[in-house]
Amino acid sequence: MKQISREVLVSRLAVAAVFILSGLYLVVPILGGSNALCWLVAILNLITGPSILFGYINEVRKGFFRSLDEGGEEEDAQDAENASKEDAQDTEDASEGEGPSEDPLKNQEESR
Amino acid sequence: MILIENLTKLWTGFDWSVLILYMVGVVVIGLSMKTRAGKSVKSFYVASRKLTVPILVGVGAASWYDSWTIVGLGECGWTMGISILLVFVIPETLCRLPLALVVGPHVRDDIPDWVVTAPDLLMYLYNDKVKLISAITYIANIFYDSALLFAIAEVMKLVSGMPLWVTLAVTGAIIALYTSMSGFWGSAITDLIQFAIMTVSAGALLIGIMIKFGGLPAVWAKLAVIDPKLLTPTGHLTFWEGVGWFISACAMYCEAGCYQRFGSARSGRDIKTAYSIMLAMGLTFSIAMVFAGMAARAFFGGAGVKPSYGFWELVFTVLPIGLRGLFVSALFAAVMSTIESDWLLFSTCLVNDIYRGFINKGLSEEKTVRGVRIGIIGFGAVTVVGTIFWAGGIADAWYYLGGFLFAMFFIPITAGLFYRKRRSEGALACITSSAVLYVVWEFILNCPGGIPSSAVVTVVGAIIYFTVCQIFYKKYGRSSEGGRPR
Repeated sequence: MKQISREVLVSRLAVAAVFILSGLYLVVPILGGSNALCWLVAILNLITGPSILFGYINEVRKGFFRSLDEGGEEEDAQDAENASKEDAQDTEDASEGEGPSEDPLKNQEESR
Repeated sequence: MILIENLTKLWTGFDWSVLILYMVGVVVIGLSMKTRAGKSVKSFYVASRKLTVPILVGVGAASWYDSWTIVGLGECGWTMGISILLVFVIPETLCRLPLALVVGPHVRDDIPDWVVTAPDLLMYLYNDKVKLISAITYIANIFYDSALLFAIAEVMKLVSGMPLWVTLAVTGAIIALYTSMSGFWGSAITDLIQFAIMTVSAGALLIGIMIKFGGLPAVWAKLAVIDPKLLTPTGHLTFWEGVGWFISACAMYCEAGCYQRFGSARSGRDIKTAYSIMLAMGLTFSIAMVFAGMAARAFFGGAGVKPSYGFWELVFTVLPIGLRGLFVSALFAAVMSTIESDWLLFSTCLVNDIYRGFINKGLSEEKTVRGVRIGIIGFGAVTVVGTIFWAGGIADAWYYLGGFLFAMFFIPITAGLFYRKRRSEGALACITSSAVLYVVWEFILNCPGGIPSSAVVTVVGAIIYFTVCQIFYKKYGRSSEGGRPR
């Protein structure tokens, strides 16, 4: 619950930042060239990109890829098994001349 | 003022080192992700749908803010001044909010897992005919990648004297190599690095402008003498030109890479958080590029000077050794992040959507991934050859190509996601009529009355879409399972 609340808060703050910055970037240049605005834009640019990179590095340190390898292997194996079953079914259908199987990649006829 | 021909003398071995280090880095990342990416089409194309917030911010930003944001917006700052903020930069950000907060989460959470590409999405919403048309159209957008690739080749020739074809060949080969090896996994990680390089370069450039020239007050004072209209909200724009720019700000709704990024997220909630953050960052980055373009016009806008050349004169004047290389790397990063995503998309469209979807439905996952990898290399070669079309600059590239894509698919995609009465007949009617009307209005009639084709096509396309959907819905009811909106 606490994790979800934090994400919602971050999201809302980010949306608020979008509106505030939009107003700032639109109005201030109309009033004239401002070095305060220039410094703001420069500093924000200097910190935003690296902060995202650090966020990613932090996730890797917490075990992002390790958790993928542990849990993902089972999911990938299941995906591969499902894909193989679908491949085998399609091949069988094709050789027996049957109509299309329930393949999610095939379109279903629209109801008339 | 530095003469253009002296730029190559300012490009040092240290700058080369920075650029080469970046290129080697992305290839190494590609190599490291090869095994993970090759597990399945889902893993190769959408990173197994596991990307979390920090990575999503990076991939989203690198996708939404490409080399056009650097060079194109810089050119717009030069030619349009602050009016580009009013008609494009701010509207683009605000128009993308619903995409981030509503459309993206809906696509991720409510669309079946087998929907991997944008054509898959259109098949889910309508039928396979719409899928086929969209797959072919998205692939045709390869010419935009040619424009992007040409932009960086021009820059390398300008700053280092390197022949165009060498840059095209080397850059194309590197992108094809790491993209074909690592798919979207490699793209996701390199996008993070690319975004960091882009924003740091932008920040450094603005600080350089303040130190060297005294900042924005000096820029404004110069522009007030050169062309006072550059400092007005509407500049030299006509009403309809402004409308055209405003509509082009919505083009991201049709961008296939955008939906690929949504599909790669861990959850819809992660999309909301990540993309909200990313929009604020991207807006700030875009503003930096507009200011840089305006500064370039103020201090390097001599008679007969092209905006792109004046811009790089500014970069080389205000940035020291090493940071110039970083800025050029930023441009490479922006271009490569968009191109890698497009080649991945095009190849997946061709192999998974068209070949596997319509011709060889029994193709295995392993062979599909292999086919996609080969396709990436093929599209790389086509993109390099296609650069001959963009010798005149890329500022119009997004306007035309993005406009065409927008004309055909904006209504079918956005309405289709939420309109309960959607019908494939409406989508097909809208797509075909929009394509024809766009070509006629833009290239044959040359936009009579100055009314941009995007405005006309959007309105007409919407009328056709909803009218046809309404007619067929009344006659046949709702479409079958797999297409019902929430």
